[in-house]
Amino acid sequence: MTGLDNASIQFIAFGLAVALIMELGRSPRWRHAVLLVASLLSIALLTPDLIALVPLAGFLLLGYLAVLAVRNGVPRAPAICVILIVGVYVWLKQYSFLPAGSFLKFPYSTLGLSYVFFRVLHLVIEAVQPGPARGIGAGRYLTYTLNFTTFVSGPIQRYEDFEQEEAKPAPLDMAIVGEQIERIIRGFFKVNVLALLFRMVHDDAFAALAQPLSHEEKIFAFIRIIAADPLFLYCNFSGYIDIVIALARLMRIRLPENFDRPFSAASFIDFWNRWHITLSSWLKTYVYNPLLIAMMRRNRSKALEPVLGVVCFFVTFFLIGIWHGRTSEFAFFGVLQGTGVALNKSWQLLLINRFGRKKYRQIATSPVYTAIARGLTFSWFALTMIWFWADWQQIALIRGAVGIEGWLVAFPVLAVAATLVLSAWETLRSRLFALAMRDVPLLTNRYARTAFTTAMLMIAFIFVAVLSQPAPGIVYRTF
Amino acid sequence: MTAGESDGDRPRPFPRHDLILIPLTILATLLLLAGVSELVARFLFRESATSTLSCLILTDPTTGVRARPGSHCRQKAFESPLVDYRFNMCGFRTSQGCGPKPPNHYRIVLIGSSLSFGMHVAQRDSFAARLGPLLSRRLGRQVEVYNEAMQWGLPASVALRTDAIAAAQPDMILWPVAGFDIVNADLILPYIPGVQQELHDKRGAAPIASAAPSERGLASLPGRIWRRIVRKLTDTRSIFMLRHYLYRSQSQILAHTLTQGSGIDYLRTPPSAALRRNLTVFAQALDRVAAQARALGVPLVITVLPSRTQSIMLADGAAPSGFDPNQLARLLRPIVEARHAHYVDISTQLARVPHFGQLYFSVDEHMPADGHQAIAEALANALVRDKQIAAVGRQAR
Repeated sequence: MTGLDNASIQFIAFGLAVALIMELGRSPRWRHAVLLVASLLSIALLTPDLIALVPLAGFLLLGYLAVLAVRNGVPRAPAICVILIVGVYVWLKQYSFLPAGSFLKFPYSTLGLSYVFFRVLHLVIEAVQPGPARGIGAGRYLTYTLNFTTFVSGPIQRYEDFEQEEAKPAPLDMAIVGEQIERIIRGFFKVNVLALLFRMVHDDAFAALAQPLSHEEKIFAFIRIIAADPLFLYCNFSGYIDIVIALARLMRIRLPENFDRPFSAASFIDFWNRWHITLSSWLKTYVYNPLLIAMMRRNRSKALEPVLGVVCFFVTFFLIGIWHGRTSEFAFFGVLQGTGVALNKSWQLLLINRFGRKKYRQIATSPVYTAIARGLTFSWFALTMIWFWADWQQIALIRGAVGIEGWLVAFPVLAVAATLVLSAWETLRSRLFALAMRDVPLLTNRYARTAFTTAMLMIAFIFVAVLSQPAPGIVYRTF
Repeated sequence: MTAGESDGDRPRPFPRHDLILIPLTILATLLLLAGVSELVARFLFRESATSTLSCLILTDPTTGVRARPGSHCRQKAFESPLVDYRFNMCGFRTSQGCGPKPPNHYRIVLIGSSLSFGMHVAQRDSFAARLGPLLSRRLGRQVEVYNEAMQWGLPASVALRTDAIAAAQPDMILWPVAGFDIVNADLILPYIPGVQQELHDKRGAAPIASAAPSERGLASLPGRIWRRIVRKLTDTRSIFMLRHYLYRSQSQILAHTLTQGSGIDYLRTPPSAALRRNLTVFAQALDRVAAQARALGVPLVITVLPSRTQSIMLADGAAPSGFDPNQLARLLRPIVEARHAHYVDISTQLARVPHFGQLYFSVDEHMPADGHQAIAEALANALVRDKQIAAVGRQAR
């Protein structure tokens, strides 16, 4: 059975069926058993070859043994286990800096491994101190790490939240069911229509670079490429997340949000608070904070404190980059993310030093500053995304097609365009949402939302069922 | 903001009237969207009540599709302008009369299918009409193209009309072949519901395209109903409009086409058994045309007219795994050369034409006038470059 690793009709049907079966019993044991069986079944359907699942099973076993070792107070277990788990993960993912000869010789599945990695590491670290993770049993460990709603592309849920959801399921009524169906349809529309259209703009523009066109046309194509890609990825990933969060909610499980209108962010740091939120929160909790504390312990100078913050930001977001992939392109993507947040932090510190905190806040919240910052944030992210989707060969093709001047022109043009378009969008959005008739919101009341959702469903149905237009797969399932 | 982000967990009352109002809202939205899009689509994409079918004889398996001599008809397809189709007294869409070739004229007789016929473009805009003047300017001699190509002029039916080729007194026979021609090489008559029902029912020895085989049984009922719904929807103008705009994108037409079945066999590697069978049919047809060319002592030139998908792949310089835009040319060339005919390549030049992949109708995939202009130039270049005309000129009668 295919499609369970995508925002497909099969995946949605599977999730709805599991939610229905879960509703047949109220006991936590029943709910837990249904989720575990459904998760194991979905993995078996995704990878029918059991041998291909052996490395994942081994990784899970290693993780559980590590939790036990930490829980039982084995000396130096936390550090050794963390290093071991990171090492095995890097090896199983076949990072390109490792010798190719060291890798397993048979084909195996790494689907979901990246997200299992975060959950396992989280459990091992949390098992150090008293708390829910310390007492985790084998069954719950498997359900938490393999939960089919979050297995392929997250979001990364904390164990204490997961356990709480199991112990005290969220209420469900007609209105909530309606909202979740609305969200599933919206997610399906985002992945299968919007993401497809943005990908279309990207692919057509990329193809244009190789064609016999004028230099100006190629630079314009390059701008279209970098502008379309973040929008594509947002629709692709957040659409899928919409579906899994809504499916989980129908199973009375509240998953954490992963996106919060990231293109409204008025700084690059804020952007990462709104984009793949659970990943950046995880890294802030387990990398940024410990690293900052450790560095501050070593350097007690107050003057150095801001600099250490900048360094820690860089390291954290560099790690975000290299988590995404095993090649040097992703390492460079990490460097650019790290550079973005570090520059952003430095700029904030500079303004604060020069004008003081109060004045800085005034500046940073002024409409013009916000609009420009939003445009720059989008453009920087869009530019860095090149190393996210392209390999060095494709980057060389772009360089050959548009030249250095193409790159120099593209960024400011995109920044200006993004500033204007995003400002217009924010203004339009707030005005439309404020429209009301006799205190009833005009565009967000349930009838208007029903109409929008019906329209989205109709369009998505036409794209998927009538035109059979294949939408790109969920990008994050490969990470 | 998404619903889940503002997801209140407190139980909220669900008004009873919503049990009626929400379904009504859904129904009203569906009707409104469908109605408005269909109206817009019908305004933007119109077709004429008349078509080439009124000029064509579609029921004679001994000749394949042919036009009524001296007939005239008009057709506007959804994406094309209104086009006049006039046929000379021999039943060909060409500006020359049916009589003998003018003295000192070098005549190329063009055979083939709808693209060479000039489907959906005015006769003067077709590459057949443009090629003669282009060659005349290049070579300083009167070159004319006598167009015997026909809608549905696929290889098996071309082989039935070799006498007409001879009657036109050619100095060269030019046969541009498209991928569609090869995958439908054995087709003599198309199946057009209502037009040749009688013939279809009496199927004779000649191959005739047929309607899809009907399925029976309860097990296939859901599938049949589903396909029927999809087919009904596909036939709406709204869906046509959507496809038209979507398929203007090269990546989307590529993604769509590559999921198609045997229709793109000519692009798939390795070649399928069906494609090899069709190549054999083409080779048999070519045998007859080549024999005629030999009998007349004139060269026979074959070229591949790339489909839109092929053109996009060629322009990209890359193809998805399992597909090769050059495969058809590679397979055809030895077949052509084994029969002492000439193969000329125009694909390489067409791939260098800016936006060549856009010079097709998005859905119909025939070419508008600009595409024909590019084909005419590429053909003229190839014939001159490969010295096809000069070589023939020495032999010209």
